[in-house]
Amino acid sequence: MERQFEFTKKLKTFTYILMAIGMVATAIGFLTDKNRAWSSLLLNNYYFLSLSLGAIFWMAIQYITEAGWSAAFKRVPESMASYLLPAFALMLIIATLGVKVLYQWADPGTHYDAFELKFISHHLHEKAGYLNLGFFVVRTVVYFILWWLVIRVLINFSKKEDANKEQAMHWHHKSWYYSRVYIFVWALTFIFASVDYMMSIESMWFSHIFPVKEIISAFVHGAAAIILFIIYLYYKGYYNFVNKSHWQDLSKYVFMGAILFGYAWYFQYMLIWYGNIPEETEYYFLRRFHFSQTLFVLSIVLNFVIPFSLLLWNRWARNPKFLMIAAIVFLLGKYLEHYLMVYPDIVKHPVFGFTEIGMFIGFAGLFMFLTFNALSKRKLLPVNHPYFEESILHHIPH
Amino acid sequence: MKKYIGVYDNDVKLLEGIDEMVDEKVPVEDVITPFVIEELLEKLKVHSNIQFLGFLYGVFAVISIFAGLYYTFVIDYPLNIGGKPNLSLTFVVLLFVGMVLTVVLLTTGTFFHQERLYPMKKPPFEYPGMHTDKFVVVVDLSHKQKASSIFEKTGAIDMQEIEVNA
Repeated sequence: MERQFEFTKKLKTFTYILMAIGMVATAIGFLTDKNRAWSSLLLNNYYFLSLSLGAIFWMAIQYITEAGWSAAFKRVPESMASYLLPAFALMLIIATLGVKVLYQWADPGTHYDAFELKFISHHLHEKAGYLNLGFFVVRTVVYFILWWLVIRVLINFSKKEDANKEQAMHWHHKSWYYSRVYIFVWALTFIFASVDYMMSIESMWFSHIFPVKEIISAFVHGAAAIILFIIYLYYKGYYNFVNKSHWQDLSKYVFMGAILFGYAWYFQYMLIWYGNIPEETEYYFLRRFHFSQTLFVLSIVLNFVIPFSLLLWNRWARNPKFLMIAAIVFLLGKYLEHYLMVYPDIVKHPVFGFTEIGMFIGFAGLFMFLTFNALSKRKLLPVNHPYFEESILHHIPH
Repeated sequence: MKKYIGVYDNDVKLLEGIDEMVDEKVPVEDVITPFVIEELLEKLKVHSNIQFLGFLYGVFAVISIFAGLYYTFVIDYPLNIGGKPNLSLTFVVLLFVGMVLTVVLLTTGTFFHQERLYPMKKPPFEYPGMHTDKFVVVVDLSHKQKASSIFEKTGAIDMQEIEVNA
């Protein structure tokens, strides 16, 4: 039970190989097609950033609801937060060097032709108070500092809880309080962050429920990523106390997430489709009819239909193999969803080659390396957590 | 009809008593508790088919509501609303809401039917505090000997014969 996660040499080499593939893909991408490389960089960085922030949100929810069953898995989201630092560095690079390639408002001259500019320049001028190069960098710095501060505080409390048995309750209550702070801070800042990084790619389009969809996506897909890590550790023999009840409660997150995300996908699409206002429909028109109808439909299939129907039956939901398949499909769905946000505007036609696959693999390797590294630094199971016993003995009758 | 009841004031003791009952093969006819104790279902091996029925009701609701919407919006009275197709995405909202309503009503009805809780039905028996803080176990009178010893052993506060309405 007291085992420490061992970051074996084999696993380390595996993540290094993944990262090397990513480096090669990035280099080849920047040498051959700059647009694709920048798009892929933004897409992957945002993808893994939102996974790690969503994982911390998951942990914060467990704290504020005083959930007992999940206490033993606390290390996984805590470790996933270590992606924050490279995400900050890459976002700074994107916000300074790549911004003109990626965002239409940053360089209207190359993104629009003279005819379009005649109509658009006024609107862009009106938006320039918020969407300008300097403020964009400032916002990036502010977001990351806020996130880093609150997550730092939460992890520090967790460390102090481990260190001292008498004071454990005190630090647990503090974690409970700061989880609410995290949810408040994250919700407020991530709304703006998702608008900045994803929505402002197409500068003239806006949707008020877009940030809501992004927050939902970060949370539920982050939970799916946590589940994948837990399944990996389970098969490696670390979480040997995990029983059917744990699997069922974990799979509820993917099941509920599929419903929630399908709902979010649908309410944005349906309202824009039904409202039929040209400024709004152009976004979906571009994606569905000019980019790729197949990918557009595939997105809702991967994000809703497959995970939902896989986990509909109790017996399958309690089986880690089915849960793993559902979580992987769900995470691929998130990639596709964000692919459809970034690529149609910048690359203009659906391409999926070595640049995309290689960079995704590279980022996944980096993410895995940082998470496993952080996991191996501390005891895998929380030591003085008040709900730890309850979590080990978790049992849902029938 | 007479039955034999044992009364506990503590759910932990109740579960111990139920364990003993299962071990001694005394059939427990009913347990009345002020709140839900899910371990009871497991210990007494009571299975509920209400989840599966709920799924069937959902399928039934989706099909029938879709048929109704299709008949009204496409076949019988096709209106042109802003150039939208008659068979459209807006069906999803109505299907979802209608499905939830249908499933909730039908499963509630099924539950009341399975528990024989019809309107105007008298409660089978009354024991002071059985809906506030007492846990009542009902067994058949023929098992009185065994049951009373188990009740005594596991710390029941009261045990008696009681008239039960069918």
